[in-house]
Amino acid sequence: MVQRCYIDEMVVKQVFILILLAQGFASRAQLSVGVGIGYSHNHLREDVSDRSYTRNKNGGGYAAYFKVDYQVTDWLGLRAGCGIIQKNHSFFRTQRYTGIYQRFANSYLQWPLMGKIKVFQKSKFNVHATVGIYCAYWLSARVSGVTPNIFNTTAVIDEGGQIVDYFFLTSYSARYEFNNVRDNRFEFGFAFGTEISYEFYDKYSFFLESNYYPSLTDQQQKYAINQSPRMNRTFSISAGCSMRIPSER
Amino acid sequence: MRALISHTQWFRVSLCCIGLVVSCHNEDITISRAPLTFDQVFDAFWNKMNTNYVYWDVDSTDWDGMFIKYKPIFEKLDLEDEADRIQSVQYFRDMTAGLIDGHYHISFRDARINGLSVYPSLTQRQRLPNFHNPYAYFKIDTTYLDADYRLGFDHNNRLNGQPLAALSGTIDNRILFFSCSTFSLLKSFESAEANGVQSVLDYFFSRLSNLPPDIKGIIVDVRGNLGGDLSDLNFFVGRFIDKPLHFGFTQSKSGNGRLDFTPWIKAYVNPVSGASAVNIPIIVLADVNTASLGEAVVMALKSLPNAIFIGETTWGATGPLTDEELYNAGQFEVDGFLSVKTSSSKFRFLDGKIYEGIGFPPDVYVSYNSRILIDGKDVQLEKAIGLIK
Repeated sequence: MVQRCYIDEMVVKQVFILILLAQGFASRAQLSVGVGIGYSHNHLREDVSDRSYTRNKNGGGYAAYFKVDYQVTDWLGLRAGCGIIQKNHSFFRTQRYTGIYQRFANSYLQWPLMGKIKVFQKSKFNVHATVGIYCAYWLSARVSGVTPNIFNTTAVIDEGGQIVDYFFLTSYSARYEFNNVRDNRFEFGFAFGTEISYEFYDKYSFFLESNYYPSLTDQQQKYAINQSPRMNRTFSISAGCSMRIPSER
Repeated sequence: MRALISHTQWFRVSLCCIGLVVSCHNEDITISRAPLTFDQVFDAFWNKMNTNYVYWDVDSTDWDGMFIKYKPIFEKLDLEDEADRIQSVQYFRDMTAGLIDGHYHISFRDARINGLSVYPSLTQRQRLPNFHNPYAYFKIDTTYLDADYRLGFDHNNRLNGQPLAALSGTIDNRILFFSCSTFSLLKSFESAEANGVQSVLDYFFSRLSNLPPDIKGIIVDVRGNLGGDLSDLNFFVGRFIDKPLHFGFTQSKSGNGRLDFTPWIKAYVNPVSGASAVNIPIIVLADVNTASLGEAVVMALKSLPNAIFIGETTWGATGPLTDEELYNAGQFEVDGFLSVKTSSSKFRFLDGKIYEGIGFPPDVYVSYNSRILIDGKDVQLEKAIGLIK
């Protein structure tokens, strides 16, 4: 059964009401749109302690998005966005198995929805804190790695007369095949961030922002008993530019 | 998907090293302790099957259903009670009855039940109408060979108590014939102690590498061959080819999830140094008791354009085995209680099909006939001889 990204209907209604109420502050309300690009760093939280000589390694990738900010008051706003973010990770073998690994490059389409609070302002510099939620869809993935090839070996007889098989390592790179039973392609979680912006020419601003997206949902469907959960913890840092859209009032 | 072979990287696995590894106290190794209760035995077994078994995407066994049904049963068993221990064997048998892994086997470490075992594929095969016990064909096949045949045994190299037997010769001076009872040929060939198998292999390999002009075909007989050492695949089939032979694909586990698998990786046979490609017809004889590496040899030879397979559908134990550490998959132990042998990887033939639990089908089906064999007639061999003109 597919687990959908589910935002409680009541929460959606409440957010909508907040947005409508914000219309009451129309004289101060300002809309701005922006684009950003940056780096993502992901940790896949999964217990691999029972897999011998195996470690879980974080993965770096890119993030690119556009966002819409709705400034309700001078210090309070709402932000919605849409973009692509990579949530990569890998597993690698250690000690006598060094050289063997598997890497996942996962691309998600992500929609954050956050409240934005101004925490500092000096001249044209502003610092905001953002907090909210996000929803994401696992668009595509690629898996690559190196593995021992059990049917590509060379054998040596050691001093004790034992046959020692040497396995050649084989590399691979393939598009990840999604499985409806195994994979949960919808992700939902919290979003936290900070933004430093600098305004120029009255309606433009450069921004530098960092965000943290801890997932609340498992990357897998619940298809087996005693399944070990797999949750993304993604950090991103990005830069971009915003433009204020003048109010018609 | 493109699979590249690194010529400079290789990785050593040796059964004689495993003991050293598991005795080292290392943060990478979980130190396991003998279970104290049957509930612990069940949890360890069920969870290891969950993570290590490589056929969950093609096996119809409801493993979660087994958890729900048998966990409460095992919770009530007493590990100190001999009757409960014996009963537990039947429960393990029931849980695994439908598994498709042709290698799957549970042996019990506990002294009170170590004579018992669980072997689902044997039980499944015994129910088939064409099932028969292995037959030592070399006793009859020598009557088809020309007088200068070679028959040899290595009594220091045994499987199930039987010595390795190898037979080679010519038939009507126009067919080169070879058979072996198991695949442990490299071990016998390289043995410091002289044995009868060495001269058989010398005879066959010398003629294979320099085929007499009168030889019009080759018959390789692996009927009743239960497999053996992985190294024999290159050692034997590698003498029929002069470049790497792609004969299928393997796939193993990539994580603890039941459905976590690597992409399919190409499987190769590598030629022996100095080997020449064999271009004359090759006929492989195999039967329902040809298993494991025996089946790999059949499928590898069948990958050649000039080979056909005569006989019966094979056993269906096509997944290769190696120690658990290599892939964090396959065979495992529940310390102090049981040991499970199961495939480390899945194998898929060139035609894209997985023959595990099904068996590899022949091109020409000729069934085993015990009555005709008693009369000294080998109809499968005669069919092969008739096809080589």
